[in-house]
Amino acid sequence: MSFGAFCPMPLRLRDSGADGWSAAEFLRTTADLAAAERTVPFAVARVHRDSGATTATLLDYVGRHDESQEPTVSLGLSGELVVTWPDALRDGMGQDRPLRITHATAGVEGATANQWSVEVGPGNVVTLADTGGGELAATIVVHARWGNPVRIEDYGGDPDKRNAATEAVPYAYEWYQELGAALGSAYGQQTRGSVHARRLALSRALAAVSRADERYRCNTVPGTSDALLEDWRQCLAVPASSDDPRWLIRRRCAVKYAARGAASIPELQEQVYQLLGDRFLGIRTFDDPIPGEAWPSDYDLGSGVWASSRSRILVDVKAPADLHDREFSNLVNVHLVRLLDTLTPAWCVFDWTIPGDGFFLDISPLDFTGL
Amino acid sequence: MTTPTGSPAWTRSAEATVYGGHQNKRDYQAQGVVNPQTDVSAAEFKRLCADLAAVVRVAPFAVVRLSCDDSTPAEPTVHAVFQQTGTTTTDYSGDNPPEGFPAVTRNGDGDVTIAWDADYKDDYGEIAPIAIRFAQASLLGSAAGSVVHEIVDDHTLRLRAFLADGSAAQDAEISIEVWA
Repeated sequence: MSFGAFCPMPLRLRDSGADGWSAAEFLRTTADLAAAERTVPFAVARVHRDSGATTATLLDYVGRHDESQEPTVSLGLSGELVVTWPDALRDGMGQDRPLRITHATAGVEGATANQWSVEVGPGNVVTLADTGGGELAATIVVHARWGNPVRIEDYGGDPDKRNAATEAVPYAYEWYQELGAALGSAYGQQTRGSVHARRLALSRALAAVSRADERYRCNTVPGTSDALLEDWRQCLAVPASSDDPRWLIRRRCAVKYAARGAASIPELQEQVYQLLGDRFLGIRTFDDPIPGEAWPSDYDLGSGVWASSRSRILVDVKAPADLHDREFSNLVNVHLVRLLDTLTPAWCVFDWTIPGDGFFLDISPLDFTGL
Repeated sequence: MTTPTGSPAWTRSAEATVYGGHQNKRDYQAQGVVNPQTDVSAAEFKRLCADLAAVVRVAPFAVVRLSCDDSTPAEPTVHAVFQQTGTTTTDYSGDNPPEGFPAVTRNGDGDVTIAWDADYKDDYGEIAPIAIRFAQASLLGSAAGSVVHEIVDDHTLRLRAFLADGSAAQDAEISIEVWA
């Protein structure tokens, strides 16, 4: 992406240098901003109580929200300082976001020994109590859950982000050059004046046409679709929850779109990996019984047991930190199953597992039918 | 060389517009991203700018960990400084700070003064003064106690560490966050 008049929004990431912003740099920006946002305080307040413990004052304040909305400061029954924030505060984009104070720490000013405690109570109330009594000035630092947790997607972050290969030179600049050439030698090439201004305006408008053409082509496949992503999702019957980021929906649609009957296990592995990412450990097949498998002896037909497991594919996945992880369950029980259903032949059965000690119990309907 | 807009982060004057997040920023001709895998929309960019401004407003200017040396007695040892202008995790004596890092002098048992420079440069050489507005300090270790702070002037802080019985904490190890 370049900057300036020839590069109107949206930004197009490309190799960096003097006038660009690369995809890698952009992703680092979004990641670090999200990381910092998770740990920096929500607000810092400097509060004061007079020596008679009759007046509480907010001396200074900074917060992540619209600072026209400050908390209120009052005194408790025992002279403690009570700072109260509202239930919702407006952010820099003008959106009201619900607020819940979760942590608070305090530092007390003074020259003599003092001990204090800080308490976070319901209703976004933070109470500072000290043993010193008398006049008190202190800094209170609070952390809070403010609206939804930050995600890189909020800033356009996307693990699949890459440098644009098509607009290495801005379309607007290419049009600008074309228009200059078309004007001929009768007109100057200075970057000022009315001729330049008209060339620039026209080149930006024509660049929008070039971009529209590219946008059309990008939306013809789900992997690079944005305006038609919801249509692709419905067409490909890819389930999605309201929490799913657009890049994840796009990736799942792309996997489904590219899915075809896999002619070999390596092809199957590649397509399953596209869906599972680093959760994918491998695929196992069962041509012969493997150690640890328990085969019902009554089904021994002589040269090995025939069972539907011979046409079984087992996908090994990495266990999540929490086995009740909703996202993991959705991934392996919904999206993976649907993908395998598309990729595997009708005579094949499949399942997923977290590899470890134990044995696999084959309970196939065919086996029971055999009974 | 291009001069960055606005002022260094510790002036806490940044708004979203400083980062390019103008209120009326929009995709040209109201056309959305061309390729979501290579583009950043105006809405996403504005959100990034607004949140960055919010984070900059509340981020501490410096976080310092030091140990008093009252047994000798000698100047305190500073173990780590995370500052908006740079970081160090190499021990240094309070009276011999590396350039840009605070000096720490001993006043008495558990009593130290931390002094920063009056102004600092950001990564692009833009200079802005600091003015300490908030601070909080903690006594580290296994003994109960507390640390009170006193804002002496715009770039100087005095700390006093006490044990639970009110006596000065000898050889105290202190951690402090400062917003300037």
